[in-house]
Amino acid sequence: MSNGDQKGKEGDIFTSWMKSSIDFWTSMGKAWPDLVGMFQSGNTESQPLEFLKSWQSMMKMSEGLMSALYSSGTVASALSGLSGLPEIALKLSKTGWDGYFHLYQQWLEKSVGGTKPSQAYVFEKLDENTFKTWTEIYEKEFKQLLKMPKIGLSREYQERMAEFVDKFNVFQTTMAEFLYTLYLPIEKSVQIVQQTMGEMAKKGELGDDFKKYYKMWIKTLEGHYMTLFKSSEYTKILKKLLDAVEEYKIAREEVMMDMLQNLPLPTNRDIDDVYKELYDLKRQVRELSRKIEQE
Amino acid sequence: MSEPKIAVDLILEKLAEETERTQERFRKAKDVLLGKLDTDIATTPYEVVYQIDRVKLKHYKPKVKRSIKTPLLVVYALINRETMLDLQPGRSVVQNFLNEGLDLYMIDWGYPTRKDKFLGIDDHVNVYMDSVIDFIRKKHKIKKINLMGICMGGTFSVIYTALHPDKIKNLITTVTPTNFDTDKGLLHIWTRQIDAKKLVRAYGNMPGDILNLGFLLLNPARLMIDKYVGFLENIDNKTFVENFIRMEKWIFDSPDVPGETFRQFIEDCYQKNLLIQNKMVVGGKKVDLRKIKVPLLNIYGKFDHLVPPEACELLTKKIGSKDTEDICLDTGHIGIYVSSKCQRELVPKIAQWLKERDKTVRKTAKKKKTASKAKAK
Repeated sequence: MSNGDQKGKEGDIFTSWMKSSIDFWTSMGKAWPDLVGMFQSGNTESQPLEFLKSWQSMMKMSEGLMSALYSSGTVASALSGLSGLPEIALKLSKTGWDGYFHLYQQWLEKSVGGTKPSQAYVFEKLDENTFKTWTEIYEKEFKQLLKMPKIGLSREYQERMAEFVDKFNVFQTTMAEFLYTLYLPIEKSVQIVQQTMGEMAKKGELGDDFKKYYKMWIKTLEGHYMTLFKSSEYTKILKKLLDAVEEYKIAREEVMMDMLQNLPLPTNRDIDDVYKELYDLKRQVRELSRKIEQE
Repeated sequence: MSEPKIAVDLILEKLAEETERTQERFRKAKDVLLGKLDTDIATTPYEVVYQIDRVKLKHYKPKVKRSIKTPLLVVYALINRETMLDLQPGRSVVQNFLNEGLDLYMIDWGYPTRKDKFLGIDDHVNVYMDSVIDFIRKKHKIKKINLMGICMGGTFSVIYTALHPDKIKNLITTVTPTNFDTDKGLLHIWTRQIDAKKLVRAYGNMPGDILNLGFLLLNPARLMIDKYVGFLENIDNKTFVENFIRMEKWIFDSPDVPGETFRQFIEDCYQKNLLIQNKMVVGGKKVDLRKIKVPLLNIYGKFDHLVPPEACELLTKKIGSKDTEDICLDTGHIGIYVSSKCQRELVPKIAQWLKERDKTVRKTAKKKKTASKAKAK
C-alpha cells in the first residue's frame, strides 16, 4: 500500500468516526426531549428544555466546525505530519468500529422507543454499560490516534485540533451520561405511579381524577430528584460534566483562534489583553486620584 | 387471578368532560394571550442619580413625607436583577418602603460584559459600593447611611461594613449567606466540587444562563414541569398570566457574573468559608466581622433552599455589635420579597427597626444640642 493510500485510509476512518459521532450525539440530543415530552402534560409539541436547546445549538456549531475540518481534507492534512500508521492500528480501529456500530444500534433502538422494549433493570444496566463501553472504545481505539506525537511545521496546530476533537468526544459522552442520569428519576417515578395505580385498580379504588395521579407523579418525581441530587454519585457526574464542558469550550476556542489568526480580526486573547490593560490602568488612575485628593 | 375492575365508562366520561373543559380554556386563552397584557416590571418611578462604569444608582421619588432621616441604600445580588423588589404595583418592596417614608436608593449592577471579567469582590465593594455610598453621604451631607443587602449583595454589605464601619449607621441583611459550611442547601454541596478557575477560564464571566440552569436543576419537577402545567391550567386567567409572565421576565433576566468575582466568591466563601472565620481578604485587607459594631437586623427564610437558615444565622453571633436581631420568616428565598404574607411582614418590620434607631440618634443629637446651648449660656 502506498503512503498516500494509507494516509487516505486513516483520514477516512477518522472522518467516519467524527461524522458518526456527531450524528450519534445529535440523534440523542433530538431523541431525549421527545422522551421527556411524553411526560410533559399538555405539552404535545414536546418542546425541548432550555439546556437541551443550547446543547443542540452547540452541537450544530461543533458540527459546522468539524465538517470544515474533515470535509476539506483538513484532518488528512493535520495527520500528514505522521509517518503513517501501522496496519495493526487500523485493525484495532476496525474492531472498535464494529463494536461501536453495535452499540449505536442499541442506543438508537432505546432512545427513539424502538420496537424491542427492554425490561426496566436490563434497560438501566445496558445504558450504564453503554457509557462505559463507549468511553472504553473511544479511549482505547481513537484517543490514541489523537494523542500520537505531532511533528512538522504545523505540529502545534495539529495538537490543538486533536485536543479539540478529543474534548468534543469526551463532552458528548459526559453530557449524554448526565442527561441519562436526569432521566432516570422520570422513568422510576412513572414506574412507581403505574404500580400504585395497578394496585388501586386491583382493589377497585382507581378513581377518574387524572389530576390526582399527576400530583402523585410530580411528588414522587420530586422525591427521586432530591435523593439523586444529594447523592455523591450525582455530584461526581455534575463535576465531570462541568469539567468536560469547560475543557471542550477552551479547546474549541483555541482552534477558533488559530483560524482567526489568518483573518484581519482580533481574537479573544487579543481582546482580553486589552481589557486587562484597561482594568489595570483604571485601578491605577483611581488610586492616583485618591492620593491627589488626600494631598 | 381475577382481572382488576376499572370503571371504564366513568373514566371515558370524565375524559370527555376534561377535553371539553380544556378546549374551552384554550378558546379563552387565545383572547388572553392575544389581548393586551400588563406584564411590565419595575414600574415605580426613579431617577439615575449616579453612575460609575456599568453600575447605576437609582433614587426613588418619595411618595410621602420622610419618616426616617437617614437614607437607605439597597444592594442586590449580582445574580438576577434588583427588579424583583418592584415586580408589580401592590407586590413591591420598593413601593412599600416609599409608603413607609423611607428615602430609598438602590444599586443597579447592570449587565457585565467580557471587559468586566477581571472585576473582583474588591472592585464591587471598595470601588463601586464605596463610590455610591460616598455620593449619597455627600448629597445628604451626612457621615453614615443605612445599608440593606440582599443575598450575595448582603454578603457584599457585610464585607463593606467591616471594612468601612465609619460610613454605615445600621445594617440589614436579608437571605444573606455568611456561613458556607453547611450541607443543608444543594448549592452548598454542589459548589464544593466546582473548579471555579477553570470555569472562568472557559467562559470569562459566569454566564447567567448556566446559573439559571443550575437553579432550575435544584428542583426540576416543580420548576421545569409542574410550574408550566400550572400555567396551562390557568392560561385563561388574565391576572394569573400577567403575574406569571412578570415572574418569568424577572427569573430569566440574568446578567453574567464577572469572572473574578465568581471565582473568589466560590473559592473563598463556598469552598473555604473564610468570611465567617474572619480570614477573608478583600482589597489586601482582612475582613474582620468583629469590626461591625453597628445595629444589625438579619432576616432569612425558614424554607430557603438556596441560602438555608444555617448559612445566615451565625452572623449575629460573630459581629462586634450587641444590637442584633435575627428574624426567620416562614418562607423561601424569593417568597420573602414577593409573597403577600411576607409583604405585610418584611417592610413594616424593617421600617420600624430603622425608625427606632433613627429616633435614638435624633434624641441623642437633640440632647447634645440642648447641652451645648446651656453650656454657651
